[in-house]
Amino acid sequence: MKKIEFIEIVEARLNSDIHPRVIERYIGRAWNTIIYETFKKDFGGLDLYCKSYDAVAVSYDSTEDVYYSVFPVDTIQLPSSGHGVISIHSAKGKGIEFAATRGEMQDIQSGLEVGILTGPIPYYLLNNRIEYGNTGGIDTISSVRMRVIPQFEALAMTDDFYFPVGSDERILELVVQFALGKTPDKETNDGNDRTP
Amino acid sequence: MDTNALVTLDYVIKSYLNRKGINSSADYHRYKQILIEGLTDLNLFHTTYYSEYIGTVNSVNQMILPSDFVEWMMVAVEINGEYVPLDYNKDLVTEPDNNATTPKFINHLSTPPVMGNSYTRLRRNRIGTFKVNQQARVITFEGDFKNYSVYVHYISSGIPLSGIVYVQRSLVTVLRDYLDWQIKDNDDSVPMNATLYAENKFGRSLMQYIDSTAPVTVKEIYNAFNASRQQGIHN
Repeated sequence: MKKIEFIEIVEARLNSDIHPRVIERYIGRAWNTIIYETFKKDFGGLDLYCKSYDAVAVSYDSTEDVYYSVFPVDTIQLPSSGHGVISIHSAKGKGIEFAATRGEMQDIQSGLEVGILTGPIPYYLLNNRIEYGNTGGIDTISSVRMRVIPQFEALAMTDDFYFPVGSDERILELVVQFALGKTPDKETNDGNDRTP
Repeated sequence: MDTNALVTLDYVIKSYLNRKGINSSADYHRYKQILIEGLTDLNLFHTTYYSEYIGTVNSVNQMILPSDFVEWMMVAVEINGEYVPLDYNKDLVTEPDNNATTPKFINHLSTPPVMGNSYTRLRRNRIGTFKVNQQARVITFEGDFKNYSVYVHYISSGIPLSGIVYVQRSLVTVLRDYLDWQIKDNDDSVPMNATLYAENKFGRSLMQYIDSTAPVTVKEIYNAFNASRQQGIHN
């Protein structure tokens, strides 16, 4: 199903004059909840919801002496290492070339043998960006391929949108709950609070 | 199908993740550090891992030890295409600032021996000596060995920090079981019986590995001893 189709279905279901952009936000929040509720026991089954982003630039911050990438898209945050960045690879190829860790763990591990030995490059989310451990030849890599779960709002209207099977009713229920108590949108765009 | 006789530490972790059905790299580096410590323990306490290192003597007659050096087996210097073992000299001062530029003994290297001449073999103890300083991580040589190639055969911790670490295929099961045990042992939520089971499983794997690799095991000596007693042979 296309994203716009899903918004229209919800719009028809709500039967109100809430702006589609607002409905999009509600669905986005509901979708985050659904993803968490469905996969909180095992974040391994998220392949269908991932999107692959090629040629994500790797930059160097000389002030902090750290290599990093900026998020290719707004991502949903998961309570696991990697925080929604499911995997990172070199431009071509598979396998564990980059391994998720946490910023604090990286501080500890960089002082142990694992921080020196050749192996997958650690990545962690810090300072609102994806930072890399300074090992494994990260200084020779200019771009990476990244699999992330984009937020609903970040998808294009014509993008295909999947939600976990069996959660259809739940997602509508959540959106309706978000929409409850919403004041009607102004019909006249004149900047005057008194006009309807 | 051919499988590799030597595998990397990363292979062991991936094998573990595969068996456990863990499809995330989230704890990869944590597992790897546990394995590094496990392999080091195995090499130091159960199996002995020998390694070789070829280095060059620096301008102050010393050579930096490889990071995984535990104890030396043989130290030899290359002369005319052959490595000639040197003798250990416990009296040699090995302070890093001792550049040992004045050998106490006659330096025979100034006139390199001729190939085929047994001179070096017969009188190799006169070529020079060495002593290892573990604290300063250097081998100090007595004799003018500057820029000579030196071969060191040594007991390794099993983890050279430069390059890729390879382990024998037959150790994969041992290391995987070690990793499983350690993860459970360090997790307070795992019941003690599960931890003990994992520990026993590791112990069995280790004994199986030692049995399969040692030329003669203590167990075999014991069995032979018992067998001879049963046949009425006096000890």
